Amino acid sequence: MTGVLELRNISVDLPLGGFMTRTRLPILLDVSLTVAKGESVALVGESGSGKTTLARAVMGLQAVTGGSVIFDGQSVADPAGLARLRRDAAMMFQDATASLSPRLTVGYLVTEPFRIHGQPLPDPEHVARDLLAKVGLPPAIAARYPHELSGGQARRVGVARALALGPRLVIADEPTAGLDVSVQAEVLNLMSDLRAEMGLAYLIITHNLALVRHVADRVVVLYLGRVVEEGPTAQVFATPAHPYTASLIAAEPRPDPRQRRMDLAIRGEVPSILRRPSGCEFHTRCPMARDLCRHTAPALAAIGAGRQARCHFVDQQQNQPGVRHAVEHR
Amino acid sequence: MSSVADASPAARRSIGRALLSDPMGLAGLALVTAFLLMALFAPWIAPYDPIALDVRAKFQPPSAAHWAGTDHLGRDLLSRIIWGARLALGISITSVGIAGAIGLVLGLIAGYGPRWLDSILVLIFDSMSSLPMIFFALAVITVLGPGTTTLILVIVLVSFPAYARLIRTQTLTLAGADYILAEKAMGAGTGRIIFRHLLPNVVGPLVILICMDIPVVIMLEAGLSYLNLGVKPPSPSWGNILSEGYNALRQAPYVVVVAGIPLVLATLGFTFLGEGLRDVLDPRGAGRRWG
Amino acid sequence: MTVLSVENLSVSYRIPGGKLRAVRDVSLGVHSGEVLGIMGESGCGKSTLAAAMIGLLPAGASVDDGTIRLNGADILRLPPEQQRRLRGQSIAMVFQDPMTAFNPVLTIGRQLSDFIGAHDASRHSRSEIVEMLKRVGIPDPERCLGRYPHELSGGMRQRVAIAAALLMKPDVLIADEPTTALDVTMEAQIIHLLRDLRAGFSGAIVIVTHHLGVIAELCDRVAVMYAGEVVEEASVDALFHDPRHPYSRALLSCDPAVVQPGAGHLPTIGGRVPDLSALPPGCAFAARCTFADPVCADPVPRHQAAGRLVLCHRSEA
Repeated sequence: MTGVLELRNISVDLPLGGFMTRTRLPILLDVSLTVAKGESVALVGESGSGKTTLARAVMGLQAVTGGSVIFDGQSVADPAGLARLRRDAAMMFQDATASLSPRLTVGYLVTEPFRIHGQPLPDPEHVARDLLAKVGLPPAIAARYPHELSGGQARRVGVARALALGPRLVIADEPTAGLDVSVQAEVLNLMSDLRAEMGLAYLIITHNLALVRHVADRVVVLYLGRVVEEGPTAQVFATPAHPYTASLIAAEPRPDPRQRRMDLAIRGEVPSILRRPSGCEFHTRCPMARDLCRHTAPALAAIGAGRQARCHFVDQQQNQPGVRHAVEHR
Repeated sequence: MSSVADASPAARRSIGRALLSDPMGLAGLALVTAFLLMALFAPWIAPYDPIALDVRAKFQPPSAAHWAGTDHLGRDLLSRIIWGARLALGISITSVGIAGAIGLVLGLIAGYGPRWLDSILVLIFDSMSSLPMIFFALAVITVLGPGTTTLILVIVLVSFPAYARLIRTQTLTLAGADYILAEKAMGAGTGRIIFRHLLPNVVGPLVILICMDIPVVIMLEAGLSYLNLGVKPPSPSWGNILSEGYNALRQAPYVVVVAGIPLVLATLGFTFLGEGLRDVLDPRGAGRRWG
Repeated sequence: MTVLSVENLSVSYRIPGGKLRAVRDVSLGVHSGEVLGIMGESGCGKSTLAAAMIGLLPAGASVDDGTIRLNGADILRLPPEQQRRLRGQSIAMVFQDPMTAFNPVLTIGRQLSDFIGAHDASRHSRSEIVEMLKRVGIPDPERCLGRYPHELSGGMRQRVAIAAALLMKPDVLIADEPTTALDVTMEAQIIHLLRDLRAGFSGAIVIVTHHLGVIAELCDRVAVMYAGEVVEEASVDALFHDPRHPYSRALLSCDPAVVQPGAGHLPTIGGRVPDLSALPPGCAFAARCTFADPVCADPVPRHQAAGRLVLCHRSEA
């Protein structure tokens, strides 16, 4: 069953150095994922994971070196496919204020998609007001300029604009970054509501695991440009199959002073993509690394219903519910 | 997320109010407006015909009849100066305006268009700006003869590369901005991106530069006219008046003073206005000052 | 022993058309060996408060009332030269953005020794710097000295910033959103680092952040700020398990990390933060509070009992 979005073996290399160099740096390697109609998929990763590059590649803002992006059954390498993507899929950028053209009013910006795609716009003010109301903003906001908005307001304007033409897919790049906790809750509620109302599919790129738990049906974990784990959210969080996933979950600071984690299994930093580790690229930080891991790169293997993981020792990992850690009790 | 680094609140002010509250900007605006009015309404303000001769009344120092005195041909200096404003502002604003428009278009194309086109354009900009202005002016004037049109042509050719380079740099910086990517992601075409999203955001510094260049061009025109390479007499160019006044320095020392004052005031006026605009035209409000 | 105490501090900014009251009558104290968290959302005044503590208030801000004392001495009334000396030596700060905290054209080693040289050239040596870099977890300290800031990752730069702050053995270390710009695993490591460093650090630590998780992991006591005031102050356990102020309660209940998934809608706090240049009389939170009452328009009493403080008509400490 083809979904709304299908990424097949996407690879992206970027040239290293100046204009004439031949060296290319792999940013994404053989990434495949599917977003079904109305489904919400989270792409989780830290810096160096390539998640932002992937988002850009999906929207056609970044050329792919290998593989294909299929939107609604049509490849976006083909101009007609790309035009459809640009009309029926919308992107929300991480820095909401920066993604709004500074000298245009909010009212103009949210109705711009109509103008771009030649859709009729008989009453722009009315349309703008409706879109703003849909995201919970008062009509007065239409007269403001982007720099006059708060972070949360700018985020909502971004959502309003994304919804203008009734998209089938919304790609959200760090939708909660920089937002206060209470505003995050509002944005999450908004995203859930819109999904229910409009049957939207989401591809959410984030490192905020709380967001993933609340809004995503499935989660895909990236490390240094490769998928290391994939599966339904609840299951992945309950029994992570890959040590990196387990480390991410364990690393999240818990808002309860009675549950402070006293040790930390993950060591070191994300390696530079200029110097990728040998074998399994996570072995330099993995608490369970063995000799095999240093020499041989594991393949992404299915490990159950709708789940995949890239680790030699998946079975052992799965038998432990999460990484064990000492907890300080007070 | 707010942090200590940006703990102060953003002040929201309209451009007009901001400009009017800045003493320098206000002074500049006042002077520029005065000269513009002088230029526009010259036929009605000037007490005498600027080229009317009255040799009997030559070299009269400032008096009730002639507030600025008369020159060696008995022409009223005040009228000549008022009409001179028309010439000075007319030539400078026209030439700088045309150069600015050319610079804007070429700069946008260079900054946003294909890289090979950019390389060619940059070559053109660099070659044009390496020509020494005065020699270039002399060369063109020799070929085409002195006059207002030649002057404007020279100024346009000499000025546009600097404007184009400025716009190009601004455009290059903005081309990678998030909002441009967002527009592309929505399917916006190149034309829309350039005219709706890049142009309004790069034009600010250009306006300021143009404003500051107007007095430079006025001086240039005055200088060339002084060398009899600019506007032909008997046209009342400030430069011509200055030149004639210099020749008659012994008999009528007041002439150079009277010709120099408007030059100084016009220069000050446009410079102050430019400085005032600089503080006010920064798009994100970063240059705005709080009370 | 109270190392740093803020007493009835009020700070405002001049804006066109009036005054923006960013910090209103705030009193706090930190003891040596203690970690105090100042928690709040955007616009609550915590960044202004931190800036006032380190003496780096921007132009346009003025202290209207109150003072800040370091070991008893009034530091706001000191001449600028003495204030400058205090900065970095007795009060050190770690900023939010590790990207811009360092001069890009100087090596790390040069910057750290310059920084120390500015205060006390004789005492410190290269070996002390290397030792401190090792303590903050830099893997190859000697080589790090020769590196430029752009060659280090964000996490590394933040560690170096902490090392720089601790080198002068300050009495107070202030960390402003120390982990906000970092990845999840790096954030966890910095939190662990700060916790480990406490053991060898005799001074007081103040952490300013909006991240509930960071507060819970690191702090002993917490002050919650809203619209320029401290609305609640309590031990970290008391705050997270028995919050008394309606804002604290609302904030804790709407944090996505606290709420269980599958609960449907997340609770939110309705309304917006009030305009700090035109505050309503009485309680600033009343317009958004589910327990509001007509009495909330009156000046709000400060209830203090057993190490807790609550600024509310309807709740007790």
